[in-house]
Amino acid sequence: YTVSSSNYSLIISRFLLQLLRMEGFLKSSQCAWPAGLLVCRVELERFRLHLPGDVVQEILLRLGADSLVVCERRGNLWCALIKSQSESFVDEQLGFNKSLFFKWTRPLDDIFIGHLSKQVQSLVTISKDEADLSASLPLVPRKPDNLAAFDSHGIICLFDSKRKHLAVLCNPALRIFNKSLPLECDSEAEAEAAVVRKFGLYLPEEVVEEILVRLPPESLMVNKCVSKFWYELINRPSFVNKHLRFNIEKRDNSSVCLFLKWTRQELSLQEIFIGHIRVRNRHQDDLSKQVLSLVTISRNDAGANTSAAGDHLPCVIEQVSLPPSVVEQVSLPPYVFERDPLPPVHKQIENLAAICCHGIICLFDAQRRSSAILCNPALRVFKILRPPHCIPGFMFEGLGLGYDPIANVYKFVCIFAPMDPDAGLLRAEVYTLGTDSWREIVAPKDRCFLYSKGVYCRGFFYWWNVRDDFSKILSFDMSKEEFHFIPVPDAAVGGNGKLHELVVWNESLVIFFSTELSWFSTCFEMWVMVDTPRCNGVEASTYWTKHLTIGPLARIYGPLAFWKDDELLMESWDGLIVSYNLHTQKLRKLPIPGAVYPGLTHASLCFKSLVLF
Amino acid sequence: MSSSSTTTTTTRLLMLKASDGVTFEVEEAVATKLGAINNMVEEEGSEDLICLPNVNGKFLGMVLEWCKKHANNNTNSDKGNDEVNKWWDKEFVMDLDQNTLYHLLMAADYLSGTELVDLLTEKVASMIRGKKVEEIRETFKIKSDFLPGQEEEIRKKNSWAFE
Repeated sequence: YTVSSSNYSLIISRFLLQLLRMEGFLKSSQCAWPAGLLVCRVELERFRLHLPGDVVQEILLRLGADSLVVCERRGNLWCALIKSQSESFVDEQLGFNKSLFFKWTRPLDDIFIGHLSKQVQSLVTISKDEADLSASLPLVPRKPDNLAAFDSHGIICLFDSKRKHLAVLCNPALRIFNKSLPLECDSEAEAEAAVVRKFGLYLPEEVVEEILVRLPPESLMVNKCVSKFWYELINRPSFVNKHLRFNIEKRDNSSVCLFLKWTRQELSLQEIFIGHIRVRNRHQDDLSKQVLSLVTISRNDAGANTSAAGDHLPCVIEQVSLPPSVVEQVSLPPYVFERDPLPPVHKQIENLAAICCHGIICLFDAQRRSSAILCNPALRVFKILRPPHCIPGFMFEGLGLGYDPIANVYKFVCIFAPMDPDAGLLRAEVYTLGTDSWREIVAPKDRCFLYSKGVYCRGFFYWWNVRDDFSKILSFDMSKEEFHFIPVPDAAVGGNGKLHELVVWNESLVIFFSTELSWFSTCFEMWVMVDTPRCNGVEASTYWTKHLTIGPLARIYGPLAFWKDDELLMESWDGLIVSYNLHTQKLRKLPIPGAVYPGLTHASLCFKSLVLF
Repeated sequence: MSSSSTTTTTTRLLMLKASDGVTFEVEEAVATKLGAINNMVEEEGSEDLICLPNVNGKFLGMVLEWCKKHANNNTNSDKGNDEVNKWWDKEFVMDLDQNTLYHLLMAADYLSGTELVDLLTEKVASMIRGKKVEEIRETFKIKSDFLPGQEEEIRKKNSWAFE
């Protein structure tokens, strides 16, 4: 140890805690403490370390009686600790392994320590603010031999086997401290049962967390009402993260949730034959035709192997509806196309584009003329995000949403382009969720025209740049807040009628592009982006590997998203959404109610998360 | 952790002593499936007797039974074994009464048997999923410690979840 700096307290408490976590180690062997620790007692005095009560106790137990006199002056807590347990300290210096030792860390930071031994029958409770110190509790039975101390469902009990008398001392989980609770019991088992009836079960905090991370958000919203402790635990940011990570990592989960935004197709026969761009516009600009759904697909469905049930993908589809108040707030005044022969549509939001990250969905007007809507469908929470005021002479070019793993925050990024295509550079602003303000960052150097369907993948947001025949992808590093252009494989370049799509697969970015595009037969190539981090002096590099070619498939418009390693959702020209299996090459229909307008659909994996904004 | 090359010689046996004095003799490869024991073996080296004052013999026995099954099945690198393990795990937790489940979970947590904790917590989670608040409190013997009105307020905030 270097016993000098101010982070000394941090080092030592971390070290101690680490040691203490290895409870077995502490109890089963007489561990020798570093000699430096004894020297530290003076330092402890000086720095007024805020050590948790149990650490303090552990330290004190190891100090000689002479050192304890010094430590008594450390503060009320220490003084009381030492006084109340002086018997044990004097009699059993360092003999702690002979005694029964109970230690719990209670929820909500309070510490309970009970030190019970055949010699010492006192118990001290310590609360975090050192002033609150409950009295030491003399135990009822005096004859040490008759006394059995046991831990029943987290409640420390002393059981006098001769007099069949039970004294319940404390339930650290529920923070109930009883001086004594005389219960007549014949056996330890009976005493246990009595204790459970009275006080309930106790599980360590980390075990409760382990259980709760396995539950879906809707269950957790209900479970908040169980007790104060559960409420506080579920609301913790660290729990929200843990819950999310559990859902992302446990890929063998029984079901998977997808967010689907599709546009209901309502065409007259005549319109089908015209196939005019205006028909498409009419669809994409009408909010009443936009459907938001959450699709839950069972992962281990038997249908993948049997041919009989193979036509439909078994799944549950729930509709997500935007609350009217939210729609009203983001609505634009309706306007009518001049000289439009089609009947005027009541337009509220123009073509709703969607991006999705960690269960948060952002819906925004693809022309970015209105505010964006943030929503967590699992929690049914909606929020309106005011976009930054458009800089004069500039227009919105791209919008991204992602998670910054370093700062542990979610960020929005907005790119602006000058109205005049030949003039000036781009500008960009970032908004961190929870801060409520936009700030300008360094924008991409080259002019670009971004595809509104971007994707988030592992700390980066990606857009396909339509300019220069789709030859580059723009990436945004959520942590460093930097833009980079990534060239795509030569085969992907080419704008003429070619379809380009960005998709996430196995936590990697994947591009799809069509090599043959016609009404009835389409092929797609799938390329995976590989990132090699910098190592041994070799610079980090990014390259693409071709994974496979899909097709030729009949009447398929394009890929949407993977919901499993080998299952890809695609939309068809016939208004269907189908799942394509990369191995069996089989197509199964997603039973959505209605026909989809091809090309206006968004699908992405949507973890049911507790993330709030 | 032990590779096949080290297990060609006679496997080391460890003695595990539970809180009630019951001892178990197990192969090192089995016992080290438990993180806590693995740590002790690595640190203490020569000692073959390990005292576990926080675990009762009955539950230690069950934990070790689970370890044995998984250690054996892991050595045969059959593909079907994963299925066998899953099936066995299912059987293992199926008939546990709540008391046993509780003690096993405490024991597994104390011994840092991560996989076993996974299995048991999943079982507990399945007992919570879709249940009403009152049912959960009843099952887990939890007393509501909210002040009057507090609970209603939380319910109101997420009223949809209670429908």
